[in-house]
Amino acid sequence: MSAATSLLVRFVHIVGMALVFGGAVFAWTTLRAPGSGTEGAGDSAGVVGDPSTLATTYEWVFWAAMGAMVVTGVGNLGALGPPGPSGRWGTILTVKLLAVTAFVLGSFVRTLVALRLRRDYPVGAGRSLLAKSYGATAAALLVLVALAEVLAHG
Amino acid sequence: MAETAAGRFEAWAVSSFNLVVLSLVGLLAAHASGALEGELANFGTLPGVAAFAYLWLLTAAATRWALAGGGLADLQDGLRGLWRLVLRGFAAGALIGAAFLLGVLLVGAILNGAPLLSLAFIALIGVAAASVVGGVIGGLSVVLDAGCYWAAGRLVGPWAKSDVSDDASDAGG
Repeated sequence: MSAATSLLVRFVHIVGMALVFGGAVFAWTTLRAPGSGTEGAGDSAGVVGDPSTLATTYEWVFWAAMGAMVVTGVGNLGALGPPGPSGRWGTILTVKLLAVTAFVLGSFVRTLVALRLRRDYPVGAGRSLLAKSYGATAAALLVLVALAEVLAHG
Repeated sequence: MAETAAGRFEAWAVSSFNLVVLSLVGLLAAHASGALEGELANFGTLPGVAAFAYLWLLTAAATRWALAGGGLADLQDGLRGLWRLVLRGFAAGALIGAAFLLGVLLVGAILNGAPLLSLAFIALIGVAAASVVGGVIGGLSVVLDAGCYWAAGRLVGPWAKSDVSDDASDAGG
């Protein structure tokens, strides 16, 4: 892989992580604000009226970013030269892959929560559940970033 | 209009999740068996990204078709709904497997100038095998999706009720 391609792959990977982490923090802080999700909330600037609209927008971006991060993550491994399953680096990679898989499963449940709230419930329902979901997403992403840092820099 | 938007959102999330989780499981299996190093060494960046993008496109289109009837909400019909979705998932997975292999073979043949007869022979056997493998993966993916849908339902019910009652008491106060 050329240096420019390797740089582009890393760039896309980091931008994807910035999007999903920043978006989760934004959704968490917005949805936990008092008054968000109520019918009159649409009148006040900076407060989201229907929480499921914000959640749906985040989920569209989240899954696009996850797909891009999987393919660029493999590209990064190819550039660095993947380790074997044994050894310290190999074990860290195993832990990271397991953690990412668990995170993706949890994220899909969160996405389906947003889908079901939007489709089956009145405006404002499940606001606190969504806020907690995005808070947990941001916290889990911090752990994954720490694992990625150890994987990249030892 | 709103129904169409919800359907598009559902198809996008389900297809992307299934592809991402399948890729991760594949990576884990390759890493655990020690095959990852050799596999990646034989794969360039551009062909890898193109193959992934093609597979994502196929998965999105096939998932949209599979969920066109009533989507994951069909699971509320119990085992009959699950069975209906598993069958559609199997068919969608078989289509993805066949179309992916055909696409890869076709591009490989054009780039390498392979003879048409040998290509047709490989395609005949390969497409049948890829359809079966894709179908099984598609059916299993639906079971995984159904488990997550059930978990989401268990979470949403109590929380949605408590939020609605909180809002009602705020309005009453």
